[in-house]
Amino acid sequence: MTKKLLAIFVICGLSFGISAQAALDIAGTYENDFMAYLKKDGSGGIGDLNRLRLKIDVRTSRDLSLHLEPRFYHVISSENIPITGVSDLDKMIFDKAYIKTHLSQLSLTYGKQRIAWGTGYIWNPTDIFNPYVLSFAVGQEDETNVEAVRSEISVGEASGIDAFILNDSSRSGVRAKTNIGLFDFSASYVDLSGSGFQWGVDFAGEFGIGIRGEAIVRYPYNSARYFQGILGCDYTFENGIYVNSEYFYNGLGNNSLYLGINNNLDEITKISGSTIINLDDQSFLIYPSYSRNVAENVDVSIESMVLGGQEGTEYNRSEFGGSKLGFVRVKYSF
Amino acid sequence: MRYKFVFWILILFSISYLGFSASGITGDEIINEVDKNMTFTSARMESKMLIHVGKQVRTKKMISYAQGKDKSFAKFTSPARDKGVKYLKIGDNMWMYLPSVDKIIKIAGHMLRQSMMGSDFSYEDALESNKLLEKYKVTLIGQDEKSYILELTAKVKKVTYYKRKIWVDKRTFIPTREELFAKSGKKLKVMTMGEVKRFGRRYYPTYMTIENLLRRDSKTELFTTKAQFDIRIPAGIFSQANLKK
Repeated sequence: MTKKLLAIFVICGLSFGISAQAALDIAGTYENDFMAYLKKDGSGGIGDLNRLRLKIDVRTSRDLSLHLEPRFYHVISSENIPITGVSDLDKMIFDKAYIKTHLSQLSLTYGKQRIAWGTGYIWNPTDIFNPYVLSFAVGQEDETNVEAVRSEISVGEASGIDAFILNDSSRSGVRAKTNIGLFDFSASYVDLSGSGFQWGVDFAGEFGIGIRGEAIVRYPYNSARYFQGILGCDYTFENGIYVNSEYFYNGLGNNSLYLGINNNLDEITKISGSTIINLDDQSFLIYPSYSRNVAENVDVSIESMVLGGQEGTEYNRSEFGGSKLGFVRVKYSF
Repeated sequence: MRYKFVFWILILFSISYLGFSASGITGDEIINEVDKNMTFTSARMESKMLIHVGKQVRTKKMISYAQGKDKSFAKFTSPARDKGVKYLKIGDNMWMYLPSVDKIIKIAGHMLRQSMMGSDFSYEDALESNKLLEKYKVTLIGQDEKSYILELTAKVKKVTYYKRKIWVDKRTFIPTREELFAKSGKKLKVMTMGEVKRFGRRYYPTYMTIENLLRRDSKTELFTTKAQFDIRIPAGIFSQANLKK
């Protein structure tokens, strides 16, 4: 994949004309996550996850660029611990690897990339690749990326059409977006190949408070169609305290609610609290955190996750259901 | 003795009154002159922010563009943790681009009160380009040797600061100090401006400080390292497509 991309990039670069403007930019992050957990049966353990990520950008002109994002994750732990959103340990993989070109109003991206649709904070029914992400706990870099060809056509300042097809043709979709007044609106269609298709809409805007929503109707080929939707709102008070909430209906009779609050204690220190409650079985997840930018490019955070509810409910189902977890994360950006 | 005291009070009031009249300028005219300096048809700037929290200092650099009162665009170039984060404001709409997820996020009006990239500037402080006269009723409340002192009270609902007290330099018509208040009367922020330079027919302060009084030991300095006014801005800068470039 990466060799193929490099070859395409060189060919494109030569056609566009590699100029004196050609630039190489290497950045990245190293993150150490130390975690400890206590299970409901009284047993516990510790683990240490090391994450190294490079972000390499080669730009031959304003209109052609190559982006490579190799990463290597290594974990040392007392047993197999639950690390949400992390896979492919102990090997180098390319999380992203794509070339991008801009031709007037058209932008084309080919390779492994993030296709992020929707406006939800926790739940994104219109985003078929990352429909559920614990955004307050999981690094954004760890969201799922896909190998695809994507074209984005911009119309005016805030409207456009976005279309993609996966390399293996298993998914394809198109989304049109526009802005009316203080609202962004989008409508989308995704072909799930052999398993069905879905129509979706989303919006984000404000009536004094910020509001956002998403809805899809999915048509599986082998079962009845169903509806999923979210509705969220957020607000910042005069004293800087920010509150956020989101309601999710999963289309199968299950309702969930997210509530979050955060406040900057000073310009480099933030405290936050998040909870997700399954409104039907009353199981829950609570996630308080404290973070501080201790040096120019070094962030430290202390976080905790408590899972609770009746045995067998959503957040008390697996081996780690009902557990208490604590994390200390140190992240260095370079 | 009492009559003497009243006499002097009357004299002082008369002098103050004569002072404002003699200057022959109204609050609206002063703010109009301020707006002529501080708003522009278009601009490109390179800036450096120093954020002081107690003894700690953080440095951030950005490049920004503005056109008229409705359009602005800012891109952070350092430090590494913030590099590539971009903001776009068109009219009352604002979006932020996060490179890590390649996603454009709509920022609602209430979020304009939040700190921009960990500084004492809110998003609104940093990207505000509307003329003050359009949003505030202006009263000239005093003057000293160097400055006019103005009080601005909001005449529209959608403002972050209900009241502003501004000291305006009499020679350059540049604000040198500004105090920002909430509707409750609480003082929220204090800004100072200096290092005034001439750019063509306008004066512009290339150094600014802002203190958020709701936080302890917190101050942000903003240095404008390069400024170009009334220039031709490349097509497409103020678009969502440019956020992802």
